[in-house]
Amino acid sequence: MSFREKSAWIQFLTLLIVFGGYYLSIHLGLIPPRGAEHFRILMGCIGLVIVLQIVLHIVAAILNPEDAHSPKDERERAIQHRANTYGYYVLTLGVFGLFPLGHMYADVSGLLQWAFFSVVAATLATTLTQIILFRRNS
Amino acid sequence: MAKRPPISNNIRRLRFEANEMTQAELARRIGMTRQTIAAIEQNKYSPSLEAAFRIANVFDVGIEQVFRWTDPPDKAP
Repeated sequence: MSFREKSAWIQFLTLLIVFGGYYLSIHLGLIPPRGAEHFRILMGCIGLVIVLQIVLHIVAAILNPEDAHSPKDERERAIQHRANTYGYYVLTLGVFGLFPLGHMYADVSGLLQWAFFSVVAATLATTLTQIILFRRNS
Repeated sequence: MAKRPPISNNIRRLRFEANEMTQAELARRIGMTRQTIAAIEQNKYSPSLEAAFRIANVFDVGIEQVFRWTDPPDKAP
């Protein structure tokens, strides 16, 4: 498995686990959907994702330093480009979803939550597409 | 990337004839990853023209001795 594929797996799994748990907790009522405590938890989740990704990328780089430091080749760039396109579609859908939500609901925090969810979903779509394309072509 | 390109190649044979060159060694020589070389050999990825020429240059052969178009001439894409 190339470093770029490992990177895609790291990003996908850390986002899925941390924010999957975050949104599930909101849905189950374990954490409040808005307010100061919710904001602290959200910031904690973002910080956790950042730390996990940094640490796991360092470990992956140590295991194969030559692969980690080599520039992307044409196939990896093509996979990245295609994955970014799908992520863009998901993000665009999410942003356009703000318009009907904004008219139906006057809750600003809800709209912000939707916007943030769109970013998370777009990143998940991008990294999942990379994983599928790497697996399909290997 | 899902549909296999109508191009076959002799890279694996050429590597074997070149003192059993590994995929990693070929990848290093042309600036690609080993996984990309593996994908090219398995016809799962079509390299760019530049990459195809680089591969041919490594083995000191013409590009047509490395890659071959396999679609029949009257078949539309």
